[in-house]
Amino acid sequence: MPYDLGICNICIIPRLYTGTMMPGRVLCLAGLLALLAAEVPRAEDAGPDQPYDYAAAPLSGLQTRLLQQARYQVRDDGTVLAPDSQPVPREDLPYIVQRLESGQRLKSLLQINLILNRSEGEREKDLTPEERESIRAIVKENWEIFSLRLRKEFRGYFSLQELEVMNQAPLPRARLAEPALKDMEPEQSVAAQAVPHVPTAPPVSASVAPAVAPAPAAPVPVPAPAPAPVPPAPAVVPARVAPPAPAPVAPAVAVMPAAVPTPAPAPAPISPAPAPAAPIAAAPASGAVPVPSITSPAPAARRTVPAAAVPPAPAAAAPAPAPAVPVVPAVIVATAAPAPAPILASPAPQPPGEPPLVQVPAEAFEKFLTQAPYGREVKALLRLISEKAPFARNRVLNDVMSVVPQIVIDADRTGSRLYSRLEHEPALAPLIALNSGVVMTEESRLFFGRTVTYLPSSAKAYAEAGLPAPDLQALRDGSSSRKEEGGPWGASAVYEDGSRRASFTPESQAGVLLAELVRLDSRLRRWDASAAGVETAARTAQWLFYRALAALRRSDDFLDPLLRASYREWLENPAAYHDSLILGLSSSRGGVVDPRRASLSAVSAFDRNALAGCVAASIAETAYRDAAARGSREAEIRAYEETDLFSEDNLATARAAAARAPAEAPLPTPCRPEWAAEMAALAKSGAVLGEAVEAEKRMRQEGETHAE
Amino acid sequence: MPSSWSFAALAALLFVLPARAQEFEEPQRAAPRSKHSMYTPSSHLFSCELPSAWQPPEDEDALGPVARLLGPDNPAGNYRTGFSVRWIEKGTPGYVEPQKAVEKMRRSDKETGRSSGGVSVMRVGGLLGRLFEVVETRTLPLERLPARDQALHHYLAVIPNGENYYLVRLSSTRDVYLDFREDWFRCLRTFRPIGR
Repeated sequence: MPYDLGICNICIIPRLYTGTMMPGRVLCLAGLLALLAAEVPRAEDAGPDQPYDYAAAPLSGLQTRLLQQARYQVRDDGTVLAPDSQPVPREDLPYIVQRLESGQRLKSLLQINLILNRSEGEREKDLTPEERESIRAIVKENWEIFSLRLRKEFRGYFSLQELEVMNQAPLPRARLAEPALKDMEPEQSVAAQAVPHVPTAPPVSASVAPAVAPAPAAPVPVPAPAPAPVPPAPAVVPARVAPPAPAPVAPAVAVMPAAVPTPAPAPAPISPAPAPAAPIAAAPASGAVPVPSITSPAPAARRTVPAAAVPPAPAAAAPAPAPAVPVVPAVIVATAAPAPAPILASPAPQPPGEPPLVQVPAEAFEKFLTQAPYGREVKALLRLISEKAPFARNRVLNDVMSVVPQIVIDADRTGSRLYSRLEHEPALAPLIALNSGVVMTEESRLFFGRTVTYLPSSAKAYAEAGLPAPDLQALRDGSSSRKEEGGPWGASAVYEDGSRRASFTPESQAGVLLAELVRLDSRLRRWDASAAGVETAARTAQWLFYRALAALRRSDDFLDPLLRASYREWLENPAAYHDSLILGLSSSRGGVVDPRRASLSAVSAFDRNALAGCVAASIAETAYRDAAARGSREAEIRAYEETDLFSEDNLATARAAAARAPAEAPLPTPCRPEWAAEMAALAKSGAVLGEAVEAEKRMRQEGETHAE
Repeated sequence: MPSSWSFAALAALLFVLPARAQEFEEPQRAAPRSKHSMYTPSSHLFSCELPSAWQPPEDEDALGPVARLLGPDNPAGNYRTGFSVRWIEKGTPGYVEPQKAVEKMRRSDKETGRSSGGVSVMRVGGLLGRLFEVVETRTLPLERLPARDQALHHYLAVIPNGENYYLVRLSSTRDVYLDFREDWFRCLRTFRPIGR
């Protein structure tokens, strides 16, 4: 679950994606029925590539607005143009709308979640009138896309008369089976449009701007920022807009909510001298406590500008940043983000664009956590890291406080990763998704024993492999287990069909989060020249953290069997551990370490040679990467094939898709930019890796192991 | 007659078995033998003949310098075959005496299914090396799904030089380890400790 939903809403978010857990046949039937019932013209009326006709099947106001926020344009002739100016086929539009609605639904629930988390009261009746009104506004605005269950959850906020009016909006359609669509999330394009304008943004504080102006000559006026936490519903953007034209960007800047840290007044610095190089703007000078901008943890919602990437001037000089608008269907605009300035024990010089690297006292981090836009579970993990991590603690805490990466516990977003997934691209907010558990199946071997297969619980993983999710009860949302059984994984749920689901402990998740934060740090501070070096440092931090916890508990039984085996090997047989780590990570399916560049010296030699013969090396590199990617996909499909959970037809389709997967796009420059960047980062990478090696040496000198 | 049937069956068996044995050996014979060349790492730890096409990253971890050579993937694509050669010096954090190191590495472990064969002695580069093999189970690929347990095989050689020693390892999955047996012994036969 991305964030806690607080009191009664704890079940909401997982149910948003229930479609991924439904059996394939039910899903297909639902999709078929929804397609048949759709108001759009049917496929048999025209060819498959017929563009959608808005005039023949108009969308609702909210749907139109969502499309426009995603930079779709409705032309006078009724065609809908995608952001790349291509007409949207009528078959695709329902899926696009469904996806946008899903993102909007999730965003609204997270906004509500944040309000509830920040509330003093634990129950609905304990909410303040302002909080209650904020939730009402969000719900009312998104009622059209709320499912029946969600409507039931929130009907207590409205009178019967209000409900009667609101319920005139029909329930959203049944979820469609998702086709393979390219990434078209709304905020992606908005953020991409907004990024270049960040430096030129005037020091406005917060306002609402449409993502796309309705016409070049008549942009929608930007309303003044509302002082109330939740503004009234925005003016409805006209359903039709002018033909594609360079959309004038409002003078404000779209900032992803995730990257906008807690807008509450920044914690008082420990040091009397403020950090001059702090990457985040100063705390609001006025006494106004702005409500934080909220971001959806959905992939769409994180397409925003990280706070650290926003140049402080001139916005940083804003005398008093006004409150950010928390609930806006249009773009959330904020420049002088009222971010929690990092608590600095002592100001230290830092390279531009990088988070500070100073001592972070536990109390200061605790104070940050109280205001941070994280759910309770994630806060508990971060608190554990702050209290117990012996290595890389200050690195990662400074990163968290200055960049405020999105951290969610959401199995669906970890894809085919067992424990976690880090997404960090330039100009986008970093995202760390943690897995909550693992799904297992068992099958008998030929003679004796059983073979356990660990499967992803994320529909995304199967979709990426070109396969349908297997029909296992442990993968279905809402299916009840037959019993709970103890074992090496702790108490795991056993289902009728023999599938199992086990959960990771918070301690285990905290270690995984620490390792991911170290990986994120390597990118933020540019010491990621060697993937092997980064992995060594990240895992050293993780194992030292577990060792500290195990010493306190006198046991390492909080680890799952797989982590425990690795941890014990690191403790007791480090040579084998380090060798196996590199051999596993450099395999096709490991895919983390390039075997040609599995150490700093190898990276240096490789990049030097590549830069010397740049053009030929780039061509060869592209061919190598394509072959490696194809090999990895094929190996993955073979692994799925061994599970006997997929039909031969499905596997053949997946194999064919893997074989014709598009090659890497040609580079705009003759040289790969990462080669020069890696060369520049070599020294720093060596220094951090040296820190990790020294930390492990110190531990071994102590000569104690706490695995027993 | 029973006796004639028995002779006939025995004759057929004797005729078939060598042919079947040839069939089983054929894949190994057909496996392309890689070219070898004398490899000396920049740390001048040692030299030995290793497959030329393998990638030789050299590194230093908490146990000291290590030269690794990364070979091909296993058929499942989740583990790479690789050599590693370490020089373990007394005084290094985590140092264990050679004899204890051998015992520790051979120790059986129920959780990982680790088991070990016997120790043999071989003269390696003028030193007396202890050679043994270890098999264990590991869930592969690392932290990716779908994953399954897979048996790993390690050829190991502890080559003491006083209180210090070389630790040479050839790791692979068990399904392909025989493909690299010749590489393993070739390295040991040509192994030369340098500067020690």
